[in-house]
Amino acid sequence: VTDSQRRLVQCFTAVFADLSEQQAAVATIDSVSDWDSIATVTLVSLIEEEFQIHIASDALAQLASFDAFYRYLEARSPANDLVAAR
Amino acid sequence: MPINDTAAPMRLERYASLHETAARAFNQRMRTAHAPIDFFLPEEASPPVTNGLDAPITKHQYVLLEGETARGGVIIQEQPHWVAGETRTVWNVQSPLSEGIADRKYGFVAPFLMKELLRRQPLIYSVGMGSASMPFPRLLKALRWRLTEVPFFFRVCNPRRFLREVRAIRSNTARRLLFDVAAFSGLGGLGIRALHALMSKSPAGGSAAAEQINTFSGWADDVWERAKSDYRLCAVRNQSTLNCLYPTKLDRLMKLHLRLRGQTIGWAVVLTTRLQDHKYFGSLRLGTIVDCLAPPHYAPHAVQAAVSALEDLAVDLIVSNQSHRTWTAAFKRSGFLSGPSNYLFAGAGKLLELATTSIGDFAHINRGDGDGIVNL
Repeated sequence: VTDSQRRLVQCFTAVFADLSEQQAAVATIDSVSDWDSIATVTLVSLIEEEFQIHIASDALAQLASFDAFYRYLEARSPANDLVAAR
Repeated sequence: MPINDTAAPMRLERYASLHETAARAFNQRMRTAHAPIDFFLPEEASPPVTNGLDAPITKHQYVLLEGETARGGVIIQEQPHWVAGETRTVWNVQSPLSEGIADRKYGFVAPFLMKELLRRQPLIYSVGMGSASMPFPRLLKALRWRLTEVPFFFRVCNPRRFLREVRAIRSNTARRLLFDVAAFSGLGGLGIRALHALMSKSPAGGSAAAEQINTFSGWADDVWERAKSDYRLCAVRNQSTLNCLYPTKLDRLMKLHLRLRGQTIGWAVVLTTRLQDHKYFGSLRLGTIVDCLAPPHYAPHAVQAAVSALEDLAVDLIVSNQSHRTWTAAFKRSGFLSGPSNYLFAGAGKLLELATTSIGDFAHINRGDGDGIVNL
């Protein structure tokens, strides 16, 4: 588990308090019943703050799972290596 | 894999006839999901809502598309506002719709819509919204819009009917019995009248006279010029915007030209509604002070004149929502009490720069703003 994955799990469990860390790491909008538009905004805000990035509104449609957020962050990392961000 | 990896880019367009098929399909999906009818798109394109060719205020329906599929929509009221000393076009957001209501996988639609609106127009706000616990204000709060209640004021004109009808306070059997005893014994009426009398102070210099008018004319421009500098945010309320906001065809509205010793001091717009089984007000005859404007020292005169006009129409209760301290003070001085408000103001973007203090310090917001009049 990379540091970024761990931090992303923390963001997910902060928004979806009922998820375990294991569940958070495989969460999708279909598997999390509390994942609505307000949760999307809260999650995006938290991730923007945690990773010091701005998530463009155009990207929101794609960000429907933990994996999608992780891949988005990975693509945004200058070295394409989030482990290096530790 | 994320559900929407292959999704087409989202785009917001003004609703036109080419969107009608997509709108009908959207409505069908919402209908299948048993969404309330308030969350449907219009199925026919219509010209922007205005009141006249050169009207300063327009309403446009927008549709949010994913490829050629409608996923949401919104009405934008474009209106000139006085913003920190300049007249600027401001967008008022009304009736946002999202397919997220019917299907959670479109939960991104509402945030996308609001971010897109803010990107296009940094001077943007919404009013009304019911209460802070409703989904739209909760979404705005999550998006870091600033939400504030616009204070609610009421004044009881017919205590007996008020005590018998107001469901907001008749919430259990014991209370209903208590208020019935108070109503029929006359003690409740004595108490309410004493309270209003204790709180009321007559405006200095006498009472203003109110003349009912059909349209606003040049004097309204003078009132606007004399009053606007007291606010950092206020919808332009001059002759042309007022005639657009309060057209003659809305005959439930009473427009009042207010004078003191023959000189124009301001205006008020009031409304009477005969309610039937209303969830808060039962079957009262309700008077609303929708909107008003006067220079600050004449605000108490304006409120008192509006109250007198509504009392002449035998209303049981007068209510108003007012944000600015000039007006909240004037309503209190006219014997109004304050109660819980379900009328919210939410501002974002550049409007947040104005909102560094309480709403009472910078904005004149009331039921005349946005679509505030719709639910009266």
